[in-house]
Amino acid sequence: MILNFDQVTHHYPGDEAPIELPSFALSSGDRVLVMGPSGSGKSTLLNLVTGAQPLQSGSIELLDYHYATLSARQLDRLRADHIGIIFQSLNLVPYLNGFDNALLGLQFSKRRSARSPSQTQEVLQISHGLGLSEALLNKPANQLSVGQQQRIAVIRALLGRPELIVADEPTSALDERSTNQFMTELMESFDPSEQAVLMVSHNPLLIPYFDRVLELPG
Amino acid sequence: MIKFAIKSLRARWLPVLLVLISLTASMVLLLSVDRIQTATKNGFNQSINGVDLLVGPRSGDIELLLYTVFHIGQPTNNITLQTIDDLAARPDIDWVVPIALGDSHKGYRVIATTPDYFEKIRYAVDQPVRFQTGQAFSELNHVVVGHQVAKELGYQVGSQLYVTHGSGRQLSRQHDDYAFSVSGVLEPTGTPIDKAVFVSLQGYELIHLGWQSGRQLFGLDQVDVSKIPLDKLKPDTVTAAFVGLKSKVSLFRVSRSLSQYSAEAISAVIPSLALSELWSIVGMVDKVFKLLSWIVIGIATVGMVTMTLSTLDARNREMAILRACGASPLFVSGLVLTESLLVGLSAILLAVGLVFMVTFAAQDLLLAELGIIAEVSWLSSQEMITLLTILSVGLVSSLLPAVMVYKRSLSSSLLK
Ligand SMILES: Nc1ncnc2c1ncn2[C@@H]1O[C@H](COP(=O)(O)OP(=O)(O)OP(=O)(O)O)[C@@H](O)[C@H]1O
Ligand SMILES: [Mg+2]
Repeated sequence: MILNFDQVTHHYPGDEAPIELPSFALSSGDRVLVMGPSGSGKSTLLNLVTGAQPLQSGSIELLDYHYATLSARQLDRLRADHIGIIFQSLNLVPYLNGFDNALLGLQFSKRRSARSPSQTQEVLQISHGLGLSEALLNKPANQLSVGQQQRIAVIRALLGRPELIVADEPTSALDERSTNQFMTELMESFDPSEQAVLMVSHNPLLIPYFDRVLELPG
Repeated sequence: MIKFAIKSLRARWLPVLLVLISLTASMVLLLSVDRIQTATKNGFNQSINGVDLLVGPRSGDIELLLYTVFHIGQPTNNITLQTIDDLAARPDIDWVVPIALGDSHKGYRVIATTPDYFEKIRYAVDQPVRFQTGQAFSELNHVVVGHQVAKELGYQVGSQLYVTHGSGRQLSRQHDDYAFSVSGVLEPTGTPIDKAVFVSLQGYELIHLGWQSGRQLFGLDQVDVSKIPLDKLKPDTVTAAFVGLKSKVSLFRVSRSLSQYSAEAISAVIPSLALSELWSIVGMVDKVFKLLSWIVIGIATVGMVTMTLSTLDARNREMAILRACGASPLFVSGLVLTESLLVGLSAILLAVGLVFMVTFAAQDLLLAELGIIAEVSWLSSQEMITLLTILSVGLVSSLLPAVMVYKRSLSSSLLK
């Protein structure tokens, strides 16, 4: 088992009622899509899973780690070691080139860099699968197209094979064709024997790429 | 982290460069003011050396120092030659060099003294006053000119000149009945000696022969100068005297006993003490300049912090990405701090380099033009402290944006 998300509710200060989130579990090879209307708490769920929002009630377990028992610093380290994150857009640090941005995935985790001994090789291999040329990797981040930027974010998230891949609307800036291409490549690049994917999207086009859909009530 | 910081700075090179320039410029200003202050202070303290006591009519220490060493002002009283002879006769006194002030030449002070002056008076650290050309006066009509006087007025050995009665500012009469001839030109010393004209006491007495209380009764052209016996040409009074002791140990005792000299009210002043007393007044100006350059550094630092703060909002995204990859809040705030430190350190290195280059380049110029020896000295410990202070000021002020980044990255959610 990779992730166990159990009876979690989250109350933002100033809000009337807490957001109640569904319970679910992820095992290796699982691909779960989270859907729901705007404001239903999809991003909140991902922020809790990545440890960016402190857990208030309920239980979250990643591998053998119970979030309730971890400090903020330990959550940072857990995220670095075991979670790859893909944002909606603006995924890259503007002053680094594509290559360095991809390597950021290993920068803060001894575990992941140890699992990826020949870093350059690995970046090239994943980027090949995603249809990115080596020349593109050497371009400054702000000279890449949005689709190319998202692919580099995927390389970053996959490097060092973290157990959980988390993505918040990664295709919202892409057109239909690019979306399909991106999803196909992503699902081909991840390793079902030890990784799981948790993605948030509004887009029903993505449903076929997943095993399960988690619907949040509005 | 440093690699990150450098890349991030390079991406924002223009504002970074501007901040770097303003920081560097302000530090160059401070270091230069510091160096000029040290140089003036040294030059000031080195105006006189080798003299144990300054003796003159009873007056303030600084006043006595001003007219004997800096040739500024004029005492209201004189001291008699009898007093000078009494001084010279004391067993604890080694030598006495009297001076008489009062006349001038084209705005330069005329100092009447004995040839011993050039032997006994030193400047800087035991530097004797040397002749560039010629020698000390040996005839009545001989005159020795300081380096700057010779340079400005184009005098060389053999040049003829007249001495003006009084300071030359008010309506004063020229001693145009007696021409002096330059017997020697002094080497540059970087002291008031460069701007002085020296005649013998006898020559001085001679041109004042026909004068009484500032009015001329008869001219020297009416008498046969060569008929005047030399030993009669002795002034009754002089302005002051430089005194050397046989033993420095007796300095304070002699100075006290001279102040109680009964035949006449005189003061004996220890030059180094009077100099530091005078510096405490003159040095105020430098302190003000120093304060101003600290203010300029403060402004430049505020500029740097402003730049850092104004980029923070634009960098929110970058911080979120780094956090998502597992960077701790400490890392992202450390990144901001490192960037400021890099800019601050480069500014310090640049400023030090520039100041060295300028001092090095100006060295020859100063020596040639003003006779000032400006040494290219390695950073003094004082300057090190100054630079460290600047660095810590920069560090402390960079903490503000860093702490802001820290707090923000603690509370901000990664995903929207
Ligand atoms: N940092 C925050 N502080 C306070 N309230 C927040 C914060 N983030 C989200 N919320 C609130 O929590 C609720 C859920 O927000 P969330 O961002 O999880 O929704 P979402 O499902 O991701 O919506 P969308 O599809 O528009 O991205 C909203 O009502 C929102 O106002
Ligand atoms: Mg959202």
